[in-house]
Amino acid sequence: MDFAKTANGIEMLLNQSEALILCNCFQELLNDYTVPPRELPEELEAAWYQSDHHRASGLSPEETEMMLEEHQLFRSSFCEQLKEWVRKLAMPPEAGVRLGIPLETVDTFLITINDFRLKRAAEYGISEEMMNSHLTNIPNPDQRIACLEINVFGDMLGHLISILG
Amino acid sequence: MFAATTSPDTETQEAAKSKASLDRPWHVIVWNDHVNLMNYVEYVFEKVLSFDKPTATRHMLEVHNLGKSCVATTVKERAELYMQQLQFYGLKTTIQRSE
Repeated sequence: MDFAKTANGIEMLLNQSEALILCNCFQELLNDYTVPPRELPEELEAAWYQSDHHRASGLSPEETEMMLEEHQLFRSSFCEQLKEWVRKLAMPPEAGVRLGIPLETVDTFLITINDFRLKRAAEYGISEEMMNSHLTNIPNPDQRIACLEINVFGDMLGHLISILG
Repeated sequence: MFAATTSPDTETQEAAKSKASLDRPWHVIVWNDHVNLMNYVEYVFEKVLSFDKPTATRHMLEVHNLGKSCVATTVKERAELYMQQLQFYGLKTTIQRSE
């Protein structure tokens, strides 16, 4: 995986496996972003839409519903861009893929990658202790793989932000 | 005829108190979590709150070390907007009326 800043944004160079992993991440999100917040698993709703934090902020049920609706509209607005990236990543040649991320879509890219990390942590109950421990010390194989994915996408996020800075 | 339960003076005082309470600003609070990366949090503060780099870093470190940081104090509508935008980026955020 390699990144370069271009005049128009960022270019990522991904090998075949990396392209497929990223494609899988976007495909999952494409599906989840179309689900109304209340129909998502509770942990994922809390991680993405934070209705518990709306309640803690003293918002009325009506205000909370309005916020959730706007929030889902925001996330579902990423779907067209995600479909475009999936199209480019779905059948990667052996030589790999160059994925251009124009400046106007950089935040969509960052938010979606971060959403995927939040999703995995919520789905598999990944604790701070697990995040800080070596992968081989996590006995549950599903949690180990989830931690691995969170770390891989964390590296990607970190590199992108350092390039932008 | 019904007896008045509060004097006009008391009513005025209560109305003033209520107005003062409505006028009190709101704090926007970002909470620590173990998934969001430190440089991502910093990036979001720069984007959403227009913080310069040192201010973004200071608040990010507050979140990391103290568990939370008050990143803005403002009127309710703006506080709600900041909360919503920070939540769009996945940061754990609440608002709270100032004491």
